[in-house]
Amino acid sequence: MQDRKLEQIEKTAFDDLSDDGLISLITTTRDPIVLRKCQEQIYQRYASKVYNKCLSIVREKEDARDLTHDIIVKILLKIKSFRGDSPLFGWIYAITYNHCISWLKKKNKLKMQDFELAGRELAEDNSELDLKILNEIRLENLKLLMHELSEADRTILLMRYQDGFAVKDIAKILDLGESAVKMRLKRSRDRLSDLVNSQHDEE
Amino acid sequence: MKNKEQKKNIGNIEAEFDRILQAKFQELLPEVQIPENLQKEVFNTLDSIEFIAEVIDLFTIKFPLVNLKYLDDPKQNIKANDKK
Repeated sequence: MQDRKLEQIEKTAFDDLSDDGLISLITTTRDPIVLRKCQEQIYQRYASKVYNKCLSIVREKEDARDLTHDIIVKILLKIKSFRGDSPLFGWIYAITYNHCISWLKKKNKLKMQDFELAGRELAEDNSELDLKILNEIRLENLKLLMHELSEADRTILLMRYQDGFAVKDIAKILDLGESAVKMRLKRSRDRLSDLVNSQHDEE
Repeated sequence: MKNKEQKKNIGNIEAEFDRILQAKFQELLPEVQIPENLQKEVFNTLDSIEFIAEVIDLFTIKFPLVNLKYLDDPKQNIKANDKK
């Protein structure tokens, strides 16, 4: 019986399995070889994305490498607890952001006040959003401007605009209220907008 | 009335701003090659963690359980040993 099951699994190309298929195999199999193949498949699919995400948050290759190592180990250890009520990549990115934010805080590069205070400043701020300038900005310039933003600004903008996290998901990751996240997002957008405008003026 | 229109305008501008940002940020995704030996390191760490977990399980759960089994029914254990 066990042999037949194994034979069936061997016939299945792991590459062809969907994320859900992989997870259900991980949660049901008792065969360490099958489990390892599933874990390797998860690595193949997501490690590079996690690494690049870490790199865009922390910017240093060596730090991104160490963070990716820890995040992937964490994911592979916790994957049995993944409930499947959201896509796997969303769950993986949430863990990635959580881990990177904790790391930034530990390294004193980020304080939660960075996220909270910015919202309060918002009422006094009236940055002009220049759509035309933003639309015309070259990618290389935008990349440079992103580096000029604070860790808090960059992280929240990446979550929203690169990974499409909903406000409530960002709130959960950052442990903030939804209105605070909305204000923070607006503030970060305005900061980026200021940078884009000032660069445009210089040109 | 004027206020309502102004709010609507701001909302439209923000939606457009969001759309542009989303498009730009998608193009910003870095495509840096992941370090080659990272996979080996990840799975070595995983193996070490699993090994440690097994050792802990052996001494905190399995070993005490076997001891308890012996202590629970000593007569039966003596008989079983005699038969051997």
